[in-house]
Amino acid sequence: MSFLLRRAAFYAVAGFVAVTLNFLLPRLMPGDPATTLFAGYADQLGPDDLASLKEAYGLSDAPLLAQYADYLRSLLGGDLGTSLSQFPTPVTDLIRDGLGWSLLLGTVSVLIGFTAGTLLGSFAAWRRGSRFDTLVPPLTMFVGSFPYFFLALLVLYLFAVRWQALPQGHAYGMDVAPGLTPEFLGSVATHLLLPATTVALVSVGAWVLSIRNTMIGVLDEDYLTMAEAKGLRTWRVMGHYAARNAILPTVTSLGLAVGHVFSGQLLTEVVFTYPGLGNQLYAAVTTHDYPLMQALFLMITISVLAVNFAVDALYAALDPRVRGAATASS
Amino acid sequence: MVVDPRRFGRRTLLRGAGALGAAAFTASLTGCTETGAGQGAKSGAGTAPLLTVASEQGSTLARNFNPFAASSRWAARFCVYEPLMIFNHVTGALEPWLATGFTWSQENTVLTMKLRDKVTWSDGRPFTAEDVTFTFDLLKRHKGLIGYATGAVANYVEAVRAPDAGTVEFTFKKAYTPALHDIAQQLLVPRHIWSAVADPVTHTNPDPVGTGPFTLTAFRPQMYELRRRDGYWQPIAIPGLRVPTYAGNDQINSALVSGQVDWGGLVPDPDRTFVAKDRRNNHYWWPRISDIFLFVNTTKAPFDDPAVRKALSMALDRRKMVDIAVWGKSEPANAVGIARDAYPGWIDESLTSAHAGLVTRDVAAANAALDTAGLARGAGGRRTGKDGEPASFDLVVPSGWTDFVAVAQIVTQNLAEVGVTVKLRTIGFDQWTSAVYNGRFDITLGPGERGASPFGYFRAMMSSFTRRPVGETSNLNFHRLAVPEADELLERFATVSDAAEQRKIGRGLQKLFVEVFPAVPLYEQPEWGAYSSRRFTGWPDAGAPYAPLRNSPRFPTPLLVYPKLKPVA
Repeated sequence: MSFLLRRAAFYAVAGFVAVTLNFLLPRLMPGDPATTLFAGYADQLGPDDLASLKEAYGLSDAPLLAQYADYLRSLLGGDLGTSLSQFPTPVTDLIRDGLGWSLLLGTVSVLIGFTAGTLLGSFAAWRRGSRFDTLVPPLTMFVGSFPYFFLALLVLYLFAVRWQALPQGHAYGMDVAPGLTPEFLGSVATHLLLPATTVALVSVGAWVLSIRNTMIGVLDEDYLTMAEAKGLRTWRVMGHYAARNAILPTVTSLGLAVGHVFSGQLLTEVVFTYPGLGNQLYAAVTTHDYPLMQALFLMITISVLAVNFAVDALYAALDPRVRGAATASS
Repeated sequence: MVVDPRRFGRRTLLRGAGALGAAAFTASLTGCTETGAGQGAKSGAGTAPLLTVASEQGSTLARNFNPFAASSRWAARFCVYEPLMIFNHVTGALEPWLATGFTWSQENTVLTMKLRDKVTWSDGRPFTAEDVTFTFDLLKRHKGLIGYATGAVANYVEAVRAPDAGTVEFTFKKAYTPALHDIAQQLLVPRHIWSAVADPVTHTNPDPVGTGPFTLTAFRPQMYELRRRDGYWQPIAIPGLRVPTYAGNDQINSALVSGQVDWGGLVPDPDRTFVAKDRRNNHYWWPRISDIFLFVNTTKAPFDDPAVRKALSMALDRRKMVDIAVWGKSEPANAVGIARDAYPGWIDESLTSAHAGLVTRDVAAANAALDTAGLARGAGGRRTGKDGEPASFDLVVPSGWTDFVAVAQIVTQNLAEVGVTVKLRTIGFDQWTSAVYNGRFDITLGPGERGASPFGYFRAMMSSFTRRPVGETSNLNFHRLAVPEADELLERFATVSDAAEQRKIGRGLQKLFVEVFPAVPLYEQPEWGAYSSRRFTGWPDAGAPYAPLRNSPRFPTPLLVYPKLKPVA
């Protein structure tokens, strides 16, 4: 219990630091939101009009400390502010639009990468030294070391532009009305295929390697020899005895991978015009949209902290040594 | 409490991950439910295709159709709301729209507009002069509304009156005829709806009611649709528009090339990447209405000297810039900085030919001029400042603006050849706007003002109206230069309404421009426009130049295009 409490206190402090950095970082960027926002209307507005617009849009030149106090106050009230690039839409509306899609894309791509990686990796370990083992893990590592941007554009060009087999972007087809219909769900799935697969392709190598290496260790254990000696079928020994034991450390990294869903798939969403939070973050940074940037950074940090805390708790639950160490030191 | 490890079996953990995926999926559905405004949102098989326009960029679209907002949807400014008249910068005409014509009073202090009969709002109510006076009143009462007339209303217009339901009268504080274009092109909103809006600055206007040919029928964060409405004041043949959002130019181009978009903007190297894919249907047309300039900060030595600005100009290889930056599809600029297609009949040809040397590469002449200006050559042939100190300047351009970056590289090479050291720095767009708008730069590239007459262009180039001290934002006069003679000429220009007389003053301004040379004209900037004739015909192009082809232009000219388009049977 005290271990969890101390972890919670640590995360609370980390959270406060993150909130403060969220406020400071956008303001340390060169440039200011007002000129960016009104740059597109340069021909229509005189210099004087610019000043009155700044006032109307609430872009203050107040001292940083006063702005910080305002920011904390509204944050405590759950008010994330009004977007500047999409003025006057509240930031929460924008995030609500993008959150679902980001979660969907993130979860699916992590699951594809994790499942494929675990299967390939455990098979490679089982057939250690076989042709499969010498070819597949290096191949997945090779694909994984491609710059993601390049890989995504290549896949987009081949499958969506050249062969036109899959859609070029967006979350669902233009002719499908959202709803729980087979057409809509099918359309969501086909639109998800390319972005999710590219993310999975890049990450699969790491999963393959980690499960292969732990599994090789497990394979030397006596209980496996025992299982084989009992005459159990190969697949059963590999799946139920070896892989299940080897998967443990990988599962904790799975939790971390989910935590990085928002920040990690920014490029995917931009390349495939996927309407998620990564795409919004990109737009917010390029337009100097402080409130939107702050809210998105806040979501990213909080989700990473929350997942880390959950993993800590799980560790404590799964591994008595962690709890023991904590009690011993206190 | 200690967590019991046995209750967290591995199986539970994996099942938990599955549940998370399912929850995410449900969230994504509820977050993006259909928010269509009317019935008729169904589309696809069985119905005529909608015209797909690539004019929205960004992540997800917010439902904002406020025509006065900086970040409203494209359709609010180019489909739903209409102005009194539209400046057609391809023909140079001010086209009658909701107004059939205008007259100036004797002293050019009262502008009278006659309104078109039988125009209705999309909710069926009639459009009257009351709506016009209401819109201008709204602009006056609320600071922060953006419109073509924002500046005119704040600075020049005294009163707007409706003597009868079909006439509007604008009274000016003093004669200011360039306001005609600002007033004529102001988008108009219905009084019976906007009078109930508490704060028009923050109003998102989710279900817009306008006089335009289309109404919003479906809105989703990644796309919206507009359909032709009954009772529009002129015939429209196309059934409606579909406006998807794209993350950027690359995504728009791949959609355009693969035939998903009917009307697009910039396609890089269009002959090779676009037309060659489908010669029968893929077309582009790039009329030229403004120039790209090299702006030097005239508050800094040696750029405060016109002779230096002219010398730098003579060192530049403009043909190479055109070939690289715009794939050879343009022409080098003339000495007065007015693009050939911009204002028909305005350019003083005798002046531009007499001063052609100013914008023609001549390294020897440039060197001689720099020597005369007192920038002597120092160590390694590098020129020093007038104070004898070694001089080096930064040339800033937004990173990612590939045409500007290419031109900037040519500039640095050309200037190095005459001994002027310039370092190219690419910076983020927002950093660039902030530096350039506030006068904190040495050299940069940028477009000239693209108004309806050269008045705005010359005012941006050399008037004290646009010039601000360094540190104060000026969005028009980057180079920070003003000459009293220009102020006088512009003042006179603003008091006359006769076109011939305005042109005469325009010649005076051009003469002043080549003397003062406030900025260095480089090349004429094409107006990007591309279309496919696979599903729709009747587009404007070089053979039928009835309107600009650009879909996100400076003026509401797409409204001129919709009535001419026809679906392919």
